[in-house]
Amino acid sequence: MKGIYAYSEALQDSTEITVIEAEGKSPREVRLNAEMKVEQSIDLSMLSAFILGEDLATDGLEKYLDVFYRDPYNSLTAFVVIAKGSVKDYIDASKSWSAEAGEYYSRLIRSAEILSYVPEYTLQTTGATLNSKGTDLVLPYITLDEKQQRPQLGGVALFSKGKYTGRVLKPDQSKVIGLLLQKKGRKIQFSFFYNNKPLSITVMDVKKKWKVTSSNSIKLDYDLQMDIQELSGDNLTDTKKIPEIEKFLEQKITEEIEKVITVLQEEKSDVLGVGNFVRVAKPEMFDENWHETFAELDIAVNVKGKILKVGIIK
Amino acid sequence: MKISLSRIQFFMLLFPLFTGFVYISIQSIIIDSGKRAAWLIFIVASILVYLLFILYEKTYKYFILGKVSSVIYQIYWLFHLSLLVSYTIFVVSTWMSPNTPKYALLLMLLIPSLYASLSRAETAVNIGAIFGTFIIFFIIFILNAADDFEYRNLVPTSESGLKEWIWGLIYSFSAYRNMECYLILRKYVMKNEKIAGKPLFYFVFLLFFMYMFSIITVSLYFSLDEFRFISEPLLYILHTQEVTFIKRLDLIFVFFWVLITIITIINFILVVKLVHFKKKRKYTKMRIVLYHILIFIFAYYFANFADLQWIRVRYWITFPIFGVLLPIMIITWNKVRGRTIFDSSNSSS
Amino acid sequence: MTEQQDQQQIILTKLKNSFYNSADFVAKPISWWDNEIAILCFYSSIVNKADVERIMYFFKEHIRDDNLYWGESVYTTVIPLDEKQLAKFLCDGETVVVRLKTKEMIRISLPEMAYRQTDEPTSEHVLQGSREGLVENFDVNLSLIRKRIKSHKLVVKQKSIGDETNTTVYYFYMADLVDEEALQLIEQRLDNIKIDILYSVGQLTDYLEDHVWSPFPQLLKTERSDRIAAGVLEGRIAVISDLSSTALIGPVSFFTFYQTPDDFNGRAITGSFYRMLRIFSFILAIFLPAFYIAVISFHFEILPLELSNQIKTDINNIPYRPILEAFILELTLELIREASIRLPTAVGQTIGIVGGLVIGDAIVNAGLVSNMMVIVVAFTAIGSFVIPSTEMNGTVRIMRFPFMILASFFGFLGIAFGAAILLIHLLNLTSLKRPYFTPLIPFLPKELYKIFIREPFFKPGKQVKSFSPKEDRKL
Repeated sequence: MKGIYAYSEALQDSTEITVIEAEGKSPREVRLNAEMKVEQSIDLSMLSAFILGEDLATDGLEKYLDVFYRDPYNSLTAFVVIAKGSVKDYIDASKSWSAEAGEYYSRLIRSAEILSYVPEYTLQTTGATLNSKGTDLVLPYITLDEKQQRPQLGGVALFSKGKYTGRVLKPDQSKVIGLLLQKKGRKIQFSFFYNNKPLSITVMDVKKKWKVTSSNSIKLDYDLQMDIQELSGDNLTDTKKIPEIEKFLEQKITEEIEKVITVLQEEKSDVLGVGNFVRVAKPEMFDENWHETFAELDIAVNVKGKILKVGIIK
Repeated sequence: MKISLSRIQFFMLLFPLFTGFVYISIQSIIIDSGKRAAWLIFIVASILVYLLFILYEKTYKYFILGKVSSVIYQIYWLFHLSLLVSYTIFVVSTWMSPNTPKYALLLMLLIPSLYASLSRAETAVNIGAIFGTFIIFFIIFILNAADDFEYRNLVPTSESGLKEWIWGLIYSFSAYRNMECYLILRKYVMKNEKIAGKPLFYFVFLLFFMYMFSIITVSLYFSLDEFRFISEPLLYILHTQEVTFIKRLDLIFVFFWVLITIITIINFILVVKLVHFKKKRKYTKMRIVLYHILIFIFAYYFANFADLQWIRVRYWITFPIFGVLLPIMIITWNKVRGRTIFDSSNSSS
Repeated sequence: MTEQQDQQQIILTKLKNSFYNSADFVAKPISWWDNEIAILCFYSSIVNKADVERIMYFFKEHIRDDNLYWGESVYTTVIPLDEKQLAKFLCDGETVVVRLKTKEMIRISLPEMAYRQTDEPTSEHVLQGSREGLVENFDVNLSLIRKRIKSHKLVVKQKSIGDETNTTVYYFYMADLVDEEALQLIEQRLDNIKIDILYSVGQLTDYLEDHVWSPFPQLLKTERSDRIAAGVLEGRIAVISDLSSTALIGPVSFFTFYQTPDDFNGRAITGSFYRMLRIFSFILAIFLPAFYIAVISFHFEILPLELSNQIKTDINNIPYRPILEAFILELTLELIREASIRLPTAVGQTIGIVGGLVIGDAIVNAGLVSNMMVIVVAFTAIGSFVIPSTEMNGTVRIMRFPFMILASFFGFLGIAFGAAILLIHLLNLTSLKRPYFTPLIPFLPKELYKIFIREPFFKPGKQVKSFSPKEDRKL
């Protein structure tokens, strides 16, 4: 395997980014070999992003991550990112930026996290998820634009049993996963056409309630609290319109969720942690073959929406 | 050697003895053997231990160490202390100071202990008070991780079968090893201080709370399978936390933990001294120095991963033998003979 | 020549000889009642001559020795002639009239020793409150205390120490409150002082303290009369010598050194805040440089990314290891401090500016020391100067050097080791055989908050428990 390190070198009054490339059998050996190429030792305690090529991720993450967990000097708050194509391009692209590669990528992921395009995973929580049988990993996926200049968020990479499935959810779908896994303080935005006029909303808070209805079906209830961000032309002087819009939104969002769940089931990727839930609610349903069960599961989604605020104009 | 303890001093002596060195590592083995019901198992174990405490409180006056039993305990304690020291330097060298040589680490731990042991007894009696300060820090640090807690990790408890319960119980008990120290120190408490009843309950509850807090937080944070790999889960939680000004909270905690361990060693050596110098002996200071040298030598040879792991897995055995069986035998034997510490102290000293 | 005159001549010569014909020693014959001749002697330098003259005149005109207590008055006493004691009285500034006929001495105690006016102690400024400091005079000092404690239970005991200097040392306490054991200890230790010369309060401290080799002061040194009065009212004992305006108060605890009268003169909340700040400053002053050195040389990964980049750029070009860097700066700082103490105020300030700004700036520009280290050392210095007691202040400044060395060798582990030793040492310490580190150790939960909180006065408090006063009196 091949590893590439981008780090900053302290100069008199500024820092400069240096990129080293090395090969080896394992991440540790790569690092050792890389160290031979520079005059100083590589200190991974300031690691801020770990970018893994998608071809490596297909046969399981665990073996690449061990070294990060074993050495107490490593930072476990770094992001794990899956990259399309060759990782080298991503690091090379960083040479032209003013920010360091690590800093850039971690900011890219963090801003995506706030908008719920990617769920929150650090190196540590990645490990915890890999070791949990009832849930699967979902990691940010980045791509480069045509000119090989700017990396951008390509969505999320779906995992099943610790291995990358090869399937990527585009950002507009990946935010649905963010919605389903809702954490506090995250804003999820949706835009639709309502009567041919743009309608944008932000989901402020989500209350979820899951229920096992039979041995083969599960029901996911979601209560959404929404703010209207944009609704042109048609103002809301008539309050009767609001239930109408709510209904429309409920229906649209349910559709979106169902689409995503179909993908998840196809890929046997239980990123929602349904397994962990079933394990508690109905232990007999959960066994070693959970992923097969999950693929066959009858998942019903029921979304209830409530518009709380409409902004400063009616 | 004569000391007299107030109630609060007594409990503050015991607190590090119970939690000091065990605290950092015990959760892993309890959870790994008890699986998802570990927390439940630990509650049951704690209730049983509380009953044992009540029993000891009722019968402590029959606990007289004879010549043979003194020797047995002294050997056990020497072993225990050496293990404690070697485990500590092992943890310190993996987490904090990988390049410091072993003997320097040992000296770092043993010199303060030697200094305190050669000082007046009050020093060792009172030093436990520092403990409280660290606990507050520690709880705040750990709760930092609350964002990543997964509440489903605690259930379903029904997944744990008989085997998990038995081993879970056994390892939970070993969280309360050093029960014999309670019996030994109990007689030094001033006569007018009340221990039985509420004070004892509060003490055991505090111990229980400390352990329970750690067990719950680590099992909320890690998935079950991870406990096979992680031997110091509390440190690991702190390792994964990042606050704005400090990236490695675990280092700070290891720092505190080294201090706590030194306190534990000091308190333990006080117990050893109390038993050893019950009779008047010559060369008091030389003996204390010699004792530290012995610990140094033993600990020097224990401190490697394989040996420590081998001992740690089997170390549950000390609680049933030295914490329960032996004391109960001594108590029964003296009860049958009708001897209590109050008449024996008159005859022996 | 009468027999009387002969005798008088002999005694005069003898007296002058035994006082080595000192220039300020006066001994001359005077006529007393009924043509009786007496000898007047005094040291002209330490006697209030005008008042003595007035008393002598009064004696000669209005008093006859057939009255029972003819010689007794506020200033005067009559005792039988004793040549040995005579010298002592004269040295104490008394005027003595020796009556040859009756072999009696009339002592007129009107000394006039030089002493300065009370003013605010320069080392213990307060923002508000009393500004009366002690001076180098028994009567003035005691009047300052008596003014504050108008109680007959305030007892003063006096002792003369030093075979040559005959220095007056006096200690006082409240008879109903004092910690008896501590009092006995003080008396015993004062009795055991066998020296010829007592000239400084430091000597006294060495004799009175429990642990001379500890860096921590175990007796509180203060020049503030209100502080002494407060201490005495809590059951402590104050020892003052005639030589110095500094009183020693004991038994005290470590935390006493962190309190100032300002805490009590101001509001409860502000007082509490500054009290906490001072405790924090103790930790800062001892551990901050050590912590910084440990981080830079061992645990760099502890810093968050942004900060670590900053520091890395800063220290990258410094040729020395952090410990050397720190020593250069710390020693510079100590030099400046030491230099500015003894210089006149105006020059002292210049030194401060030259030292602080010029050297500080130049040393960074020369690349000997990093900016970060300047910040750390400056913080530490300020942290140590916050401590109200000058003595504890010095202790804290010394204490950080061992910690810095330990940190440079072993990182955090070294600091933990040092902290353990320091802790055990503080536990071992006693002040007049009372635990030094109360209420933290022995742990008194009900007293603990007082370290951090300045209680309002109206709240009925209990007597301090850090030692054992006789009475549990509400303050």
